[in-house]
Amino acid sequence: MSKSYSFIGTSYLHSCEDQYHNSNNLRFEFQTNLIQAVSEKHPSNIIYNCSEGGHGITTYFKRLLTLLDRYDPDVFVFEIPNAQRILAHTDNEYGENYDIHFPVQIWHAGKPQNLDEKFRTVSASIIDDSQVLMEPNELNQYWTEHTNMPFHLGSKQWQGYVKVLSTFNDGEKSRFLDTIAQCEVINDFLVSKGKEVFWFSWKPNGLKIDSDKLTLFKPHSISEWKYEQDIGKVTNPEVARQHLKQFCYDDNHLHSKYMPKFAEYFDKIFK
Amino acid sequence: MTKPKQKIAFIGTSYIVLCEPGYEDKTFESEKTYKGFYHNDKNLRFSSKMNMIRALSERYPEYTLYNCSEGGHGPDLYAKRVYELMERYNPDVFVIEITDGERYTLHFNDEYHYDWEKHFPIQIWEGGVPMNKDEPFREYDKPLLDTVHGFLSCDELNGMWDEKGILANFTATEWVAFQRLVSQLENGVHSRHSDNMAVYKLIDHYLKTHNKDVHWFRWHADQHTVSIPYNFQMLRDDTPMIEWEYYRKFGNQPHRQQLISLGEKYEDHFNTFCYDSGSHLKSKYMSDFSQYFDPLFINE
Repeated sequence: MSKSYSFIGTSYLHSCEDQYHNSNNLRFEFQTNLIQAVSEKHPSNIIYNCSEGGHGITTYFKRLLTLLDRYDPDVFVFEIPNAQRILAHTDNEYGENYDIHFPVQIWHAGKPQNLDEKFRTVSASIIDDSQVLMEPNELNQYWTEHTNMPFHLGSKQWQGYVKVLSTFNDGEKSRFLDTIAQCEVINDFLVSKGKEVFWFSWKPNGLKIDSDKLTLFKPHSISEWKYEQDIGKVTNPEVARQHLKQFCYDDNHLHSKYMPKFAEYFDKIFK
Repeated sequence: MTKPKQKIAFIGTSYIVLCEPGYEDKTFESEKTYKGFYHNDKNLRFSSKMNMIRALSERYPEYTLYNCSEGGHGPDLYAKRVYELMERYNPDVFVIEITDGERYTLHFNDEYHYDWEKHFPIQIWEGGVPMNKDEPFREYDKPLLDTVHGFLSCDELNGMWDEKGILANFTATEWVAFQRLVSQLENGVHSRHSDNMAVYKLIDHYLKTHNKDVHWFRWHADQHTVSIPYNFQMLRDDTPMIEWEYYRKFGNQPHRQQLISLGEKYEDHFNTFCYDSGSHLKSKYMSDFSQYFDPLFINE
């Protein structure tokens, strides 16, 4: 019998360019993504894509417990999240009605299997340094939507908030230390349940992943893998980051036309 | 041959690591009154010279107790602490606090990464005596995102961020959005706790599979409380500290359904033993209240 796979990650595994945006079905808000491409390449396997943009490691625990409870997949593949990814819960819907926040997409041979499964209208809110680049009207819109409180604030009133966010990048390495420890706890749990567990990252952050507990992809970041395929050995993580940009619609997230090629990164775990 | 001391590690928050400002003690006498403060500013690892775990250590001198707790922070930091405790000391027993509140840790610099040992909040106690008094400790704690920030003045906010190394000199108007947002966090505490509970489940599993005896406790429980997994060993049959004290005094443990409406009553009673209105005990009551943890020792 074919193994079932689950992928837990962030926007990198969940989104594509605006052309395929689908506001009528928020669980499949993006009509394609990297995991759909993986599913097309491996049509005999059921694949669960349990990824959500902006959300970080603190949400992985509940996702994997729910995956085990519902589907008991054989293999788990995790994206080690980068950046701070502060999930700032401003209401209790996520806690009380988790089923509609559980971001699972079920794929078989590239076809979605749970198109009709109900999904939340608004995701749990995030406090993220990407908001530094938002205009006041965008910030007002985001936080009005996420708090059910009207925000009509001007740029002056957002200054303190933006200042705090603008320093988030400076602490990324510190966050990463806690993130790796949390990954190790997750890994230990799943391995003890007899699962195969693999880890990868999207872009190198200049830090060696100092863990003998995690089974990492080689190379562990997808951007380094692509650079090695196209050019050669990575000597400086920054060049791999720069190289990735040409395949992205926004410098960070893959354009759908490149997804089948990038899906090869995961081939070895299907052998 | 003498039996080796049993080692018990506590992981938690301010409730088990703080005492009131002004507490003095001969153990730390040579270090007192730096810049006019009574807190132990010269030895920040023991900035509060008394705490619940020290009181417990005085009562059970035959044990080595590790207090690995830090005010404000939550379970996002627990995994790293657990690994470090296992690697350094390999304790026999873990006693872990299920946190209340939001407790979002922020990182604004890389010191925690590059100098982790100075951020590892370990205190080692034997017979009420600190065993790692000279271990260096960080000067500044990591910042938090907390609902309380929604009620601070702009001077307090500027001061708070300046202290964390973030130059902030904003007016009340410029802090408006920040304060409105953080004051919303308390509306999502149940959601936050539901993520936290999943973290606790995996930590519990990790420790048990490494042959550790694992106990959990809560200081508070309220309407945000998330159901405890059936296989958790909860101290005092999952009676939180402030309720335990109430029943100890007045008896009549009510049905769980009544607890929510009684919450304020428990807290009011408990706060009469505290130096603030936030359920932080005064040092003189710690020895008595440390009996909450007696089942750990009696069952040994």
